[in-house]
Amino acid sequence: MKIGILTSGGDCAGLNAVMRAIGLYAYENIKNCEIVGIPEGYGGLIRGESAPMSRSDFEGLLNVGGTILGTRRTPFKTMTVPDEGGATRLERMRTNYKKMGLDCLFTLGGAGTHRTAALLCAEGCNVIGLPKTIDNDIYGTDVTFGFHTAVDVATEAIDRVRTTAASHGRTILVEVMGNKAGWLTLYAGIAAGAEIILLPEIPFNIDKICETVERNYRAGKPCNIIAVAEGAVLDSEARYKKKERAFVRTERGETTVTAHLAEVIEERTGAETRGTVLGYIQRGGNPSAYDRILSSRLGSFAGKLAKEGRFGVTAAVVGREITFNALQDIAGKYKLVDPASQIVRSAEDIGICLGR
Amino acid sequence: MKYCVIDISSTSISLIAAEHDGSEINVSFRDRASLTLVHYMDGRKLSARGVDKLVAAVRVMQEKGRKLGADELYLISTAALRSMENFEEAGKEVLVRTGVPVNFISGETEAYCDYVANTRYSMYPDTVLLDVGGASMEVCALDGGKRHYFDFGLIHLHDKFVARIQPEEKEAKRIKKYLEHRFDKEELPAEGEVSTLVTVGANANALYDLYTELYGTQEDGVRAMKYKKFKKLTQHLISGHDRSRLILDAAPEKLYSVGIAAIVTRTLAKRFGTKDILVSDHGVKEGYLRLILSGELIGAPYHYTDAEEAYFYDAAEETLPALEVTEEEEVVPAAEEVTEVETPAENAPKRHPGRPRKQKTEEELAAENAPKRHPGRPRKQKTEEELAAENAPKRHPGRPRKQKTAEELAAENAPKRHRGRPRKQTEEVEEGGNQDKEKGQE
Repeated sequence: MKIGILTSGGDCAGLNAVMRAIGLYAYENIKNCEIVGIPEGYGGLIRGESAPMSRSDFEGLLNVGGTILGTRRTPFKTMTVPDEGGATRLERMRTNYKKMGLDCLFTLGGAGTHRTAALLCAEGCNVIGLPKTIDNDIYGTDVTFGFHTAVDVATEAIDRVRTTAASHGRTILVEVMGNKAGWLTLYAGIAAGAEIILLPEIPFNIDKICETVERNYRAGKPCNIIAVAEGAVLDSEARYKKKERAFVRTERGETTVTAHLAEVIEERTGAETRGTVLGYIQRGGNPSAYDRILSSRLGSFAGKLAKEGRFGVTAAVVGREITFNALQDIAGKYKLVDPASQIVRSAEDIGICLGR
Repeated sequence: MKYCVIDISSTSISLIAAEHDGSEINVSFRDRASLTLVHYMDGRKLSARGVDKLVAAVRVMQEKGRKLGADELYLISTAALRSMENFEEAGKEVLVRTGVPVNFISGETEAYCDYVANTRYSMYPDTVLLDVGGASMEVCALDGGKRHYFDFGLIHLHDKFVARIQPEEKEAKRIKKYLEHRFDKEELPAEGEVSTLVTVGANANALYDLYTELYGTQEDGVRAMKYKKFKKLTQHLISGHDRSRLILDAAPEKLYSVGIAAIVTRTLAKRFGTKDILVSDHGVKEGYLRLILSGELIGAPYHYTDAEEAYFYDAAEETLPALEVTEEEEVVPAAEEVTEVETPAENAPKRHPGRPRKQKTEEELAAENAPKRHPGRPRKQKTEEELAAENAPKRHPGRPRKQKTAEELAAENAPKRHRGRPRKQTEEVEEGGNQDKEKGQE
């Protein structure tokens, strides 16, 4: 069996660990197995590039962050647009898949990668997806690999911000990654004891935020930490479409609400307020123990799916088990934080303000 | 009364919510989600994972029905589950885990439901109804003419002719030739004998979604596809460069079947010489509901009650995924606002003042007021000793039982009479009781 592996979209901790598990499973359990790595995600497949990967290539990857294959973002919308030669990227991928003689292609990526994987599958390629994202927003799986490492990183970062905030009596907004889904912000915010957590799923009321900040200071708190998701929106902005919102923010010279919110809080409450963006450190670093275990389990299970000949699916975590979903059932869907969920209510029950 | 009907097919699960005011059925809400059971098969059996997915999908739709204020829910399945070797076990799992019984209906019943749902099209002359399903196809004249039933459907055509997922050019030609042969053999109407072709079913609606994606809807709002444009759509689904993206965007659950469905529909439309292909949005669910309400069919419903709100809340926490949003966000409309209405019965469920209340029979009222248990949890059968212990008068263990005198015991066991009723002075009373007890029992 000839297997291809690619990693696509934003990187995260655990990618190498998943690849390692796939490789080790394949070499241990699949006869006459041959594995090729495709560089730079779908870009490599479009160009028809690949390189053989022996068993030894998968050793020593368990605790290494990033991806040894490299990754790029190749937007789904561009997949079926004909290029100068008249062929689409999808057609090129399908042709190269056949030229490479692949029996199976593993695609490690997020929601967009899964959509493209579903396209490839629809065109007759044997594809198995693996859910990678720090955002934890892939539909049909309770958790994605890379998420918990990012939570650990963001939590530690917020912990560090707290000491300086407390020393200065400041309110500090910490911007956490998460444009559509607020899972990372929610988890890191709770873990770090943030006083306020703002999520894309729950448009926030700025009066409520200011009120909470003032109340906390009156109660004797030395500082306020506000965990703000990239995609958090004001309740007054919520009725606008994404493009309109982006336009208004661009006029202000911003892409997220963090800076604007910091200004307003300082104006209204008089508290010294600062903002900080965690940025790409959330993606980087070595995977946590949790993610190493999860990645190993997912990769092993995916290898088993290939051995069984079950294609057009993506591995998933449901409860305590590793299982799978059909690609076409989950492609294009996102898993967002339910504002009425237990975790959100628990946070509010212990006094964390979610802006509503 | 408000009803929901859920239909499980081989590739999707769909829901309608409808109100019945005594004469008309008005569908107020529709929903559909991809559920490709074919990916969860182990041979000819639905795997444990497939059963989990099925149960989860039914729960989601069940919850939508509850939010819409439905009173009753019918869950139907046709060939999709029936064709699985373990369909009975799968049905039992759905019942145990959701409380919703699965009503398996035959291909013939399914076709009849389609017919009943679409009799409104009989106002058009020489109208033929076409239902292309996974396991069977039917062509039927709405004016009471001949009904042509084919025991093969899209799944069979896919298995026989298509190597991968979607048909290629050569495969499409072979399918077309095969169909023409079968249609000739069945002596289907020829050109000129049919004026209007009406397509029904999930595949027809998926084709319509693809058609409108490419060509838009008609200005007059009629759900129709022009034959010439439909022919182009069919060709696109066979060889178009973005056919997969089109299907995955508009009808992902029909990825395996919509291309073949287009070939079947086009072959028939060409045979009949029809210029327009109408697409009905009424199908087996609407027909089934109509037949249930008229009494022509008997189905096992699921009854929503107030007590279930708590169950659903917990169930949603445990088993449903976090909020799912597609690229184009779908919003389930909030359940209809119910105002306080005075009703004769204190504990009657609240109803919108505009809807006439169905008069409940005594049995129905008794069943409503009986203590509820979630149907999925089987009641443990109690032994006689346990029952006796349950029914015995309870005393707090800490309080020592006062020892009764013989007179007190006798007084306890003597037949009781209401203080206000004077005791009839008879010989039976003097003898002490059993005969009075007998009289009391009358």
